[in-house]
Amino acid sequence: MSGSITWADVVSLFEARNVALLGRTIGLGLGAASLALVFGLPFGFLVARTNMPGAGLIRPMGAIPLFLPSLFIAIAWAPLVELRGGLAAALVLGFSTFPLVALFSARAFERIDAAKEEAALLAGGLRSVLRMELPLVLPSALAGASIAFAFAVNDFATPDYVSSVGPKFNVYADEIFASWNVTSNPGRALITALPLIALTLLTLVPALALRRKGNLATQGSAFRAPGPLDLGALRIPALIFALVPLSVGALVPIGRLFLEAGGLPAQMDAGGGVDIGAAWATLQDSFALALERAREDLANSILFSVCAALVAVPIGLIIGHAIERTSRRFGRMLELLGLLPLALPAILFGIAAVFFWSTPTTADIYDSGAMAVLLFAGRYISFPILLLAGATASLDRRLEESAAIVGAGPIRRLLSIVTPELRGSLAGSFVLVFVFCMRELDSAILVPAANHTAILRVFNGVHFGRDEYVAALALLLIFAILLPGALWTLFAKKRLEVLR
Amino acid sequence: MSLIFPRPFRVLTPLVLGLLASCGADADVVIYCALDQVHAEPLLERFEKETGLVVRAEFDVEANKTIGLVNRLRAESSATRCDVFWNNEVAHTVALAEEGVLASYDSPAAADIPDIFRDEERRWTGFAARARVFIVNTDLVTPEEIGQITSMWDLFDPKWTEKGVGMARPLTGTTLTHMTALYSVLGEERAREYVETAKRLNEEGKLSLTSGNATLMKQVREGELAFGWTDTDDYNVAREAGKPVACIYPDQGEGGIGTLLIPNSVALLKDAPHEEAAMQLIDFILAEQTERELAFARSAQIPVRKSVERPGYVLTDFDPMAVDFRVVGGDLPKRQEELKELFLD
Amino acid sequence: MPPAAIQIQDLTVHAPNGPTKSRPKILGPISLNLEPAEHVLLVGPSGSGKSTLLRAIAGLNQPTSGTITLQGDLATDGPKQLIKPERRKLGYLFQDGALWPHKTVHKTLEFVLSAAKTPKPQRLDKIAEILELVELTGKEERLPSELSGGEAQRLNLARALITNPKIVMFDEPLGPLDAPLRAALLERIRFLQQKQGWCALHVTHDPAGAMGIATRTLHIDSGQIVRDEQHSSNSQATA
Repeated sequence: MSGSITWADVVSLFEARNVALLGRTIGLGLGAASLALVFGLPFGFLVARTNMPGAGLIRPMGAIPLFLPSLFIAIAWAPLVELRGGLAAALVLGFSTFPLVALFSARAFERIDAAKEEAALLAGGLRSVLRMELPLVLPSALAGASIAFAFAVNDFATPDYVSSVGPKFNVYADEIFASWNVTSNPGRALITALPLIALTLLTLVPALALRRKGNLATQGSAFRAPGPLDLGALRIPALIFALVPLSVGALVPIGRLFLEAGGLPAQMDAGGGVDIGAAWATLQDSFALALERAREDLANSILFSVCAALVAVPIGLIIGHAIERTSRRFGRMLELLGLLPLALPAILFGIAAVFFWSTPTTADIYDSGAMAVLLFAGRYISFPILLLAGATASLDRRLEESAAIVGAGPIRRLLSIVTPELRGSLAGSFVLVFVFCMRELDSAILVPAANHTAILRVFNGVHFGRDEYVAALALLLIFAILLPGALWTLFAKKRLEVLR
Repeated sequence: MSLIFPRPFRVLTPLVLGLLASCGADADVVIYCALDQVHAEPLLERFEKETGLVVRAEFDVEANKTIGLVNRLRAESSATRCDVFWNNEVAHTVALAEEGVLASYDSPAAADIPDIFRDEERRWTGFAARARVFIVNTDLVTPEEIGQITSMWDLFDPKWTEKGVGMARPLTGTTLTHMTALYSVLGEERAREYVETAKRLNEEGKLSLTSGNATLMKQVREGELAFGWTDTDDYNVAREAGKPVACIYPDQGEGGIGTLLIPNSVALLKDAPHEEAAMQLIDFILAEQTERELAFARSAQIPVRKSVERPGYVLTDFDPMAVDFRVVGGDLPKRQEELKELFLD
Repeated sequence: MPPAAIQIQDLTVHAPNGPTKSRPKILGPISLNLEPAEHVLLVGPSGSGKSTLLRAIAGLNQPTSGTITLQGDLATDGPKQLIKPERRKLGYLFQDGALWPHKTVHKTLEFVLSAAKTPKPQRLDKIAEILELVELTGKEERLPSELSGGEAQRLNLARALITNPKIVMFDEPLGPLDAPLRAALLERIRFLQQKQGWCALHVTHDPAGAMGIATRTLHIDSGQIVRDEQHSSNSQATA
């Protein structure tokens, strides 16, 4: 395999065809990000700051769409609606990424000073409160939308799947994948990927700046947390509104998978009435089969993801902490470096893993599960880096200084002062890396060790048309994905800090 | 410090040990297999039982059909860790042979396989084939109408495009092999006309380009499309599920170019780490018994040996397309690039 | 003659971050000598550079130029940090505490002793001793959030003093306390200083209240020392 890059490869980037692909991809990203913003911002407000019924329960559930592979959402909706093509892709990706905006917005709304809010409330009621708060929250919400954009432009499975009927909706990520397929040349794949990487970075860097601005704008020294706002007659309409993205992105897909695991769509196709007893039996059989077939793969998925998180979180802590605690210039450089893995198309990770590790000296690592762990940890290291940088920023610097003065060196300070103080964010980072590794498909495709995972088995299974078994397996996977976050939310005293 | 450190370590140690033990490197033979996991797994288990050898199998992923493993073999060619490559088609295997990734092995089990399915230098051997056919939804196309679909060009007939037709986007898998074969059989101009028409009709919303043959099959099965190109194994999945589908072998009879048969292919890797066991496994795969099992399996593969028993629904009596796989394999990279430029815009 | 506790020569500090040329000067140039057992008050308006000076001595910021010598050892030479903060062996009382929220009183002090490499067998005694001195005995298992304002400041004091530093910095630690509590704590500080003999540099907004223990007052404004007053009565008392 040669890694050489020719001038022609570079020139071909500017062909009309590539430019058109890139334009369409940007359109898709903007569409998805706008949708995420339209639903995420009000959702964040409603769950974080109002007396909407069930807000406490709906808030953590709002993260679920992000945790489901976006293709699950597409597959669940395809039989239910006629819509196909670019619009469908934007809708799926928008609903799948709306939790990003919701999370960022919810946190920003919580940081608004009660005194400011009360003043606005006295001046002009809820409407006046919103008018005062929107400019304060918007930077955070836009930061979430920017990350949604980055997610959307790098996805190729979803646009491909939803344009299986009607005119094909090709995206730029297709081009990277196809280039690699044609030539097996990692250099060319990298060159092809450059415009997408640049585009993603161009979005993410301002996103970080926006978020920082959002934090500063709403943090005062005499801060008092605001109480819930009364929605009055709007409580029920608000609940209905909040349930829309939740249903589209999580409840319907999961519900549909349950129906499929019970063989109900097949029963209905067969024309007979619905036999609940038979469905229950099918459901049990499907789960039994899924567990029997995929137990090892599921165990691998969990093992790889847990290990990847255990690798990524400490490194993320060290780098994230350094971003905030070294000189500003060096910190910004580190931050940009930390963003890079998020901006690289997944397929490049797979290509790089093959290119760098499939050598005689590293063959043992390449063949072992450690390769999968390295691959996953590298792919998602950006999350702990950025989360823990944010958490460090909000940690009183003097706690560390006071430890330094009594003689504690940098390692001891990190372990004994910073780590316990950031445990909520550390757990949040852990869960986030775990979740994304569990659903990682695109980079895992090329790497043998990473092939033995539950998500790959689901996608292989989709091919065979064994809907009941595949649906049960998908549900098992979703359960495993959501379990750590759910356990923490239910039992831990400290809140899972995904954002600070 | 004692507060935080030891506990993660206590958790970490078994995890790391488990990690190193996973994906065990102690296999006696390693196979990369592009045939669907559900079909290949029982066969490999039987091989393990019969020989006592431990097989490590890497399967391909649907999203990456065939090409994932091919690319991996290319990437690993400087330090081969795979012994046997079982491809579910043949064009990419030929390409690998031309690139020097494969070794020659004249398996005694392949002695009765027709020569058109074997490499002259014995770097690969074809067996158990799939045919490229039209899968038709019989609710949308009446039995009388089915008789009117006879040629590959019928896919573009306005009569059918109105009801919905489709094919997989020809950038990967058997659809890519199929389109590449058309160039060698029909000639540059006619083949180009075929793919360009498909592309044009897609832009007009009259022909669907799916993400793979299985998706195409599902869409015909569910009545979203009237008919389209797929492989016989995908057709058989829909047939077995009792769906209203039929299968057409196009371009039969005088003047027709015949139906394309795409055999599985198996090959020994150059510098295979476990050469002896690899040959044993290849002999096993090429045995008549394997072709028979694959014919009776859900994939309903068509045995390339006339002598092998097969179920009634596995057709034997049709005109295959006369195609030289060595030419198709050599042509593949060029056509792939052309098709990419045509279909990815 | 023993070396000066703190010797500062032509020290200047500019605001951190931003382009070097446009960074405003926030301190200096100042030169200063502090002898052992002195208790020096540092007074001046907000933003005059008092805390900046303390942080520079502790090695918590990066001066632009000048030197800082601690007990005869050159610790800071311009932007170069020759001795890291954790090796300067200072006591430092931060404004409103900066106590570690997750550590109990006992664990806080245990952490300090382990960082200072005090042998384990001696630690319990030392903790008991200092807790008695700051009158926190019996509150070992409390978290900072479970202490009153005065108790928290006494823990702050214990944390700074448990390793017997020769130099102690007070960055306005008594600011938030009410007058009687402040007076009581100042009395405690005077008692401890007499007992342990350290040199203190004490930032305060309430020089009148602290006058009783001061040997000297430095008035600082716009980053410059504008007046240096000796209080002879106190200096004899502590000497």
